[in-house]
Amino acid sequence: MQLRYIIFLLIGLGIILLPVFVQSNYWIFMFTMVGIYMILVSSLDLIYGQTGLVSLAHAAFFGIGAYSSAILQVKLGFPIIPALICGTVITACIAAAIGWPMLRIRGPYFVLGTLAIGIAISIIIHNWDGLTGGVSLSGIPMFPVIELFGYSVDLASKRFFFYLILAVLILTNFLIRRIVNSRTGRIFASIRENADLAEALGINVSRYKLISFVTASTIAAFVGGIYANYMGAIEPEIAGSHMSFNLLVMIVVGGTRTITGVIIGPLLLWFVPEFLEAAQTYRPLFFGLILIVVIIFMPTGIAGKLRSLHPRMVKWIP
Amino acid sequence: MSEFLQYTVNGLIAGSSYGLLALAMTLIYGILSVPNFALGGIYALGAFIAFYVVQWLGPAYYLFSIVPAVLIGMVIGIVTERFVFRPLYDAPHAAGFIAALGLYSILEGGWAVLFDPTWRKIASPYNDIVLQAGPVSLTLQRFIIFVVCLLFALATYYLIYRTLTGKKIRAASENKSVAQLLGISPTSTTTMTFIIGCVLVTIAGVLDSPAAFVGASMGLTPITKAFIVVALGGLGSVPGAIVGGLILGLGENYGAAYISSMYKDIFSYGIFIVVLLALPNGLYRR
Repeated sequence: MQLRYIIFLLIGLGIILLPVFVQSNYWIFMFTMVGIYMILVSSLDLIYGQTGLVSLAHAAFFGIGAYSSAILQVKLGFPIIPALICGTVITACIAAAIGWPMLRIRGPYFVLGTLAIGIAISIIIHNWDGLTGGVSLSGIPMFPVIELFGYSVDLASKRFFFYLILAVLILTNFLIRRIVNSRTGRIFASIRENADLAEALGINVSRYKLISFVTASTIAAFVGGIYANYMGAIEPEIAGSHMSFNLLVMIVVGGTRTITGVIIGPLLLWFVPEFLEAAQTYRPLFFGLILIVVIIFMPTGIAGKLRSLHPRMVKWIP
Repeated sequence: MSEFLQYTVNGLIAGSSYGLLALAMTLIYGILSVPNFALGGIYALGAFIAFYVVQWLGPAYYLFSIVPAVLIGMVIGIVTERFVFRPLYDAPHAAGFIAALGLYSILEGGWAVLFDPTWRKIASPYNDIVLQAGPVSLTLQRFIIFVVCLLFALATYYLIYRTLTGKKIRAASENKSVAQLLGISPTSTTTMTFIIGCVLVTIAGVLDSPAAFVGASMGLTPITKAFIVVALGGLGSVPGAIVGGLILGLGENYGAAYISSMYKDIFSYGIFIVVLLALPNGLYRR
């Protein structure tokens, strides 16, 4: 067995055993949140890294997913699992309805269009008080306590959510890997490298852009639903353009098309600033500086830069 | 009918400032193909300049703040072009756009640290003088916004279409490599465009500030709307930016007056998405 796999295995084991070593609920909460960001960034990587579309509406679908699942539970009394599934399906339909006309638009117009849609969705959530509760929607039910083999397991506990998010993160990355290594994934790459050429070769570019966009939005919506039940209350800001912007920064800084990039981005840009609480006011400054330095000196992100240091690094940076 | 006239005047005034911002954005877009979001932060700087001039020298010097605003706008144009955008000339356009977002974040965060992140008001001497023309009334401040925006828009128009510098800028935005073959330096034309753009934006900041609250993040909404205007008018088009600005200002005010004021901002985004879908190349094709 190679040294590399042993190290990866140890890192994986370390993450799984993290809740055993870390006693404080606060830190478990922080790790869970960073995991949620990692899932969102992984799904955004499918749109930005794989298909080459800059979307500033990704958080909007996270928000719609969270709100639709929460509204089904709070206003219509759905149980948690059906609400989560229905919420995800509703968001996938909304994503398809928005993406179908939008994805025909190209280049900077598409970026501006997604920006406008992202802002419009957060304004709608904010102003549609009757449905969304305006500034905040609270009273979302917690997960229940269940009996399992004679033990009672509190599904609302921080530790359970840590493992839930970890499982979703692994599943998401597994799913994305499967897509990327399939014919569909190669079509995404051809669109990213040269959309006109792909079209000339008989690929239905709009259709594959839509597949990429809706898949990523659906993943974001599913995590949004879990997030709503985790937090118990949600605000329109989670769908806003600031959030979308942060996600984009994370993927650009971390590095596209790598698992390492998806991990580094949220750790560096969410976990570290949150850890340095005193630096709250300096956060936008810090964000902007990192972003510009990375885009100028490491156009492929930190993971890409590490990979390019030595040919053997490619194997070490998955 | 008199109400309609009032809304029209309000719309034209709002539109003239959108137009000035959009003009800056469209010129820079033309030359670099980068929607420069960072102009929002420079707009806020213009407002802070006006605030400090009024605080230190007194309200009578409000219009004088255009002078330092122009000078600082020039400097910031040169600096941002040299250190942020020049290293990215050959990178994909998405990289330039992301760098612009990063620069905006630095500027907004920087003003919040430098000038302390509270919202404040400027006591312009022209805010209390109300002009009455038939059924339409407006404050002198808003009249000044309209007139000065118009003057600077005309000056820019003259600069772009009637001078050698303007000809170089137009040539470089048409085709950079051919322009370079003909002896037009891409770096100096880009720097010139950034200077013009940043000066226009600081002036818009000085003018708009007494009618709004001054704060580090005040530039975000106007610059997003300027984006919309630029896309409406056609990216890179100078007349498109001015006409698009006026249309957006009017559309927003009519929408707010006759449909619902709560969703005022939605109208601009709604107009934008509809126009984008119907005319993917903007009102004026380049």
